[in-house]
Amino acid sequence: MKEFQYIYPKNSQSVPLILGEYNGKALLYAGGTDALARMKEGINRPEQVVNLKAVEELNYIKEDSDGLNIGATTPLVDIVNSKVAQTYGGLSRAVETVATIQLRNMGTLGGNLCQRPRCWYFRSRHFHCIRKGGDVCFAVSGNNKYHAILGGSSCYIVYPSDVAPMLITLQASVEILGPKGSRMVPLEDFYILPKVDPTRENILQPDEIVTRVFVPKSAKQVKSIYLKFRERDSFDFAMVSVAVSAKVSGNKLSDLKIAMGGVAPVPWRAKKAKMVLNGNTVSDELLKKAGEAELENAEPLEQNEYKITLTKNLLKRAVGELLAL
Amino acid sequence: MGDSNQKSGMSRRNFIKGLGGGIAGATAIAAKTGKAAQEGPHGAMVVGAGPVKISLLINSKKHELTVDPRTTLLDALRNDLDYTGTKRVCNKGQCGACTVILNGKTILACSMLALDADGASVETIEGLAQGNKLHPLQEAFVKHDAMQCGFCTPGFIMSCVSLLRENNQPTLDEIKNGVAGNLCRCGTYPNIFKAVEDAATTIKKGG
Repeated sequence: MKEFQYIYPKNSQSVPLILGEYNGKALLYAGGTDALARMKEGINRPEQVVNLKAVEELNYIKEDSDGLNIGATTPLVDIVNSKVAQTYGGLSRAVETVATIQLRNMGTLGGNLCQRPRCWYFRSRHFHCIRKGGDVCFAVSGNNKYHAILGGSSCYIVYPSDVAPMLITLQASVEILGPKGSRMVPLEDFYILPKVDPTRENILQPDEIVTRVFVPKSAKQVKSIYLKFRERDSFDFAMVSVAVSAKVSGNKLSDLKIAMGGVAPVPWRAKKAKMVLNGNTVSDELLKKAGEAELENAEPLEQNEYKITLTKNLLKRAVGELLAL
Repeated sequence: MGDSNQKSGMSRRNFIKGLGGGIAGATAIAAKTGKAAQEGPHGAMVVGAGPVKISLLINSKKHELTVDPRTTLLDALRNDLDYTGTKRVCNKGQCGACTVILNGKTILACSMLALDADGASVETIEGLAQGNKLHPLQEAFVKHDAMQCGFCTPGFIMSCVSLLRENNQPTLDEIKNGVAGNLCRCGTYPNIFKAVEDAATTIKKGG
């Protein structure tokens, strides 16, 4: 690891300015569970590391008349245990599926939403892949069991966050702070596909940070659930995950939203499946159609065709469990 | 414990205390102690590169030490302070062998900078036994043969200590969930679960 200066900003407003000071080359650091691993591997070799935890005003969970506000450096464990957050549909339960107790005690919400991909080629300093500024996605002809079946093009990472799909179905937005002020962006629009830019996963500029996540009160009026399929059930990233939220009346779903993890370089909005299911009475036949519609354009690589079946089945199970809630 | 090789540096907390008196005060402290702490851009405080003085309260004993900012809490414990009970296995947050309790919560010492633990209370496996009397969980691990090579054991026990503090009568599923972040390559899980159930009973009886 390269020697670095550890920087304690005095408040959140100063962070974009500090990042700008170092031309975006300083590394933003909070829980460290992802960033430190990348520094050890030599994927990031920063000379300045900005300790966002020093900004205590970014660590909070507060409800107001519009909804739930969670500061970016709030530890994941606090969202799991928060009585208020627990009233926002499946949010706390989804956060509880992230990693392990130790990592949830350390990792932060902002870090979870902005974590870098887990692709083993990206994570290895020996592969100068397209996401690190190279020319090639080594997964295309390499080991691609865990890679994308949807939305891949120049790069086949999958987005690893468990929290993002759930938040997207609850119509959450993120507050982004830059040198000129802050703006709210729907979380759904926060992530970008490789065809837009294969070197980053979201719209953040080098001198911008996420300061807050907002979940509207409407999340309390819908039923929502997050299902995560892991190869090792005790502790793993999702092979495929499905978040669903909807208003439920009998066997009918309305205002349906579906977002999936583990299948695409971004949390994947299953809009085709939604078209089939929304407003209709759910049946096995309809669920089958929904899964087929969503996956009809899937492009599996050599080792991950199983994800098509897995995604269809998990979607079916998630809707079934939502109806039973 | 080997905290004798101190170099000049200053602790982050002292620096922050200095900030209370304004940046001028902080600069004065920085000037007095050399290179470690400086005023950074836009009112920030900067430590490193190079040695920084921190303090850790380990098993209720205060240690002052000087670390490079790159040092993990795990390496500070093992290499600087000889708390070698905490094990370094994967060193990338995947196995749980370096689990310690920091300010009441389990964390992975390999995945935390020592600087981030400055001023914190750290509990390690060395702090559990009272003299020659083992902690009930340690007793139970021995009784139920809950280890083979033993390398993962300190991490498992720290996770279990934390679990039983929060829930003194865990179900089997709760035990499994409590140790989900700890990996035993020898596969002694069934005995570990039995040991935790047994220790829970002992602790409940006040043993």
